[in-house]
Amino acid sequence: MTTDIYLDGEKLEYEDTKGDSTLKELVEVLEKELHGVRRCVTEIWVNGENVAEWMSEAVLGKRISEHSELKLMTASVEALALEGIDILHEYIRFIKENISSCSTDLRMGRPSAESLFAAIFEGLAEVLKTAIALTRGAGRYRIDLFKEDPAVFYKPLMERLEELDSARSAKDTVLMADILEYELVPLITGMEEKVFTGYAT
Amino acid sequence: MEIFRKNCEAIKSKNKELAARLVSYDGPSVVLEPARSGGFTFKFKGVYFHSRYDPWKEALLQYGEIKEKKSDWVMLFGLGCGYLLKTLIGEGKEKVIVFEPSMEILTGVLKTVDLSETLSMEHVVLVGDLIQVAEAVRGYPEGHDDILSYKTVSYSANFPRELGEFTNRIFNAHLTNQVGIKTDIESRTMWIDNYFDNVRHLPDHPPLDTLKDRLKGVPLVVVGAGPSLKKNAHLLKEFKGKAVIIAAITAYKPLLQYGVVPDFVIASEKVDLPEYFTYGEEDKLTRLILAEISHTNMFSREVKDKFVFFNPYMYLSSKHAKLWGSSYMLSSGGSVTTAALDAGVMFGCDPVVFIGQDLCFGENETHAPGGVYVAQDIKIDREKGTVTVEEDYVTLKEKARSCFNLQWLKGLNGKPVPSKFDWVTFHQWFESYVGILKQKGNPVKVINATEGGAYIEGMEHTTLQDVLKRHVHEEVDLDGVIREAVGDRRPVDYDGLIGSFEEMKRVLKKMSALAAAVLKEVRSAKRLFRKNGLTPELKKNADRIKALEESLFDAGGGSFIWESLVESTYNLKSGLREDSDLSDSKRFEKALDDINASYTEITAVCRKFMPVLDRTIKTIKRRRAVSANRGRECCSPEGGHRCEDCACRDGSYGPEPVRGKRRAV
Repeated sequence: MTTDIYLDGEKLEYEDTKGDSTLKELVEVLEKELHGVRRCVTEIWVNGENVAEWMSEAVLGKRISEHSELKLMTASVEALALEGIDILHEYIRFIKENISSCSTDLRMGRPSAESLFAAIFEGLAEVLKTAIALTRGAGRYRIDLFKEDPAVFYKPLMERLEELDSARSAKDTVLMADILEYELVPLITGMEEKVFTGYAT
Repeated sequence: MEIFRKNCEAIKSKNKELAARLVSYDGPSVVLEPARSGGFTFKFKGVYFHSRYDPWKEALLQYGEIKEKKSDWVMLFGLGCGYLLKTLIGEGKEKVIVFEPSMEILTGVLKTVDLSETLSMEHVVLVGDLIQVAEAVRGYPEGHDDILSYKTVSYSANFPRELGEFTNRIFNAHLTNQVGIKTDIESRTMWIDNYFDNVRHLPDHPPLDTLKDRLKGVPLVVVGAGPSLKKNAHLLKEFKGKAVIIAAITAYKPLLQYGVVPDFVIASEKVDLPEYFTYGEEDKLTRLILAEISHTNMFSREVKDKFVFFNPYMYLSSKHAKLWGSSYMLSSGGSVTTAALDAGVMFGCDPVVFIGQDLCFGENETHAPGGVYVAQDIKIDREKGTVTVEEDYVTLKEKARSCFNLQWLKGLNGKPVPSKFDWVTFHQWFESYVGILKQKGNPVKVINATEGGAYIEGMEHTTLQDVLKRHVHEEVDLDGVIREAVGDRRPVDYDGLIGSFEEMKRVLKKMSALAAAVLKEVRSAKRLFRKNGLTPELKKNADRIKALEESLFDAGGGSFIWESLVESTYNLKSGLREDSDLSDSKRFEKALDDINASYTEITAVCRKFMPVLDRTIKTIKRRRAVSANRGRECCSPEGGHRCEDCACRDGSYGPEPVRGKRRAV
């Protein structure tokens, strides 16, 4: 069976004589070619379906020949960076909102604190992950993405996350509320102002 | 140390025991660390109890939760550094009882944070143990007050067991307060009536403290009628003659089934209890301990001896006890076994041992068999929190059915046992009483040998067999001791009593006249109000009413009359709580109605007691004459008898007439 492959709507000619090339290999080849035009793959549609987790090994590890149709979409790295920054802003806004409710709930011993805390914790991990990815991408494409190097915030952020985790293990809700309200909020706000504001606005 | 001393001084004014414990405490204390915004925080068991940044803001947040709920009193579980307490005071919530479960925290905080001003406030009470929690709820809030219990997250997480006990004790103690109001309303008038009825008997029976310190070191067994009595009552035979046995009246007949006639039976009920006696030889072998306010028929029961005790909560009793020859006001927790404990301590007995003191429901019974409860059926509904008791009572043809709110106490085995309000009240009292004994350094051992039921903190818990083995060895000549003590009885001060009752009569007359004047003024104010509405002119009436009221309160300041008006006082208090939403006119009209109702009742009560006082004075005069004439030849025209029972030299001849048939109860 042959597989029809499209890149941004245009059909690609390709060779897969043994029929054992994987999707990962395809993406790597394409990204190398796209590097020159400062674009990269952002979406993959398999047999007409948008695969959200396309970066996962489960998707990329499959053979091209297993699919009847593959559509790959690309975007410019600048657009991607902007999108990443937007996501970061959105995460930070959401985290700050939740911190306010969560620290109150923690101080009052309300059960709702637990789910809010989990959301904040995950959100912060996501912020770190996204920021690190953006830093790397920006470096590779020489994009002046940040006002200041965000890396200076990673360490204190990581430290707060560790402190939060150990306060949670010790069931010290007052300390958790304090770290969230008086340490994380200023840190995130500072990061937002010093690192992202210029580019995003 | 200056801060610690100041704090302890402030605590001492309301809680000497806690102040003493704090001063003598030599255990570890938490170390306070400064908070960023000022003030302090600390870590206990590895967790922070206040914000390291802004503990005041945190306290304000907690106050936000409290203010949303209606409360007259706030019960705080945990003092911490006092932020929430101070915030409550600052926001106008000035009635606060604080329980600090940890001496480690309390001493650490009091050494560093000056809370002396707050702790000196009239309605701020700091307690340091769970027994004091119940005492504080009993002592400060009233039954109709709303109580809100509040705990911070650090305290609830670190002291879960204490928190459970704290909540339970508040609930139990407050329910006791509510029941106390009901009892007061239901009983107070009857107690006063009984007292006046008993005046003629009191000269015949020695006060209980005639036996004060006469039984030093003699073991005392107080027998309650709880279901566990059947476990060890058979052993009491071996105590006879070597210990004093006081039975609650409910335990009297059950004990007879085990061949034990108690040395004393204690009864203080306001109603007659004829069904509790055998009317046989056993009755004549025991002695009755009666309250001055027991039903008067109890004084006519044929027993070996009768002793009387006086209650401090009755104005008449506290005024007259000394005149009757008693220097002892019995302390009671509401049951005769609690009263027996205090009496035993006063006798000098040691140890005081309880049996049949379950204070909780048995498997399917409330009392030991053989008494007045023939058969019982108990149903506990945990979901509804109620207990239903169906029982055959000896004097009733049909089954009696009663329903109670379910309450819980810690059992002997550590597990909760089902109880009800009155037993819980007694339980609280026992724990508090034993605590006070220890505090005062009284070495008497108080042992709970019930072998079932509730655990009573502060008492030693063991078996009756063990008590027998360890404490019961020597013979006691109880009859001899009593004979000698009664021979030394202090005389009744008849003149003092007559003077006191005459003064009461004078006060009543004055009160009656002033109450009539208030009523007249109220009528005038009502007329003016109907005619012109709420006008400044009415202020004159209001001022006159106020002046008359003040005179009336001055005149009747310490009169027993106020006790018989207890129901209307409670009603008035409830009314004041309810009418805050009314308009000025409506409130004025309601105030006039309330005043009218109150003073109509005062007038009625004054009228009721005038002839009672007349009769009482006459009775005492007669008894004075009888006492003076004792042993002399009769000088009355009838003559023919010795002046043992007559008052011939007082102008009233012959023995005291038997009054009309007593009212049936």
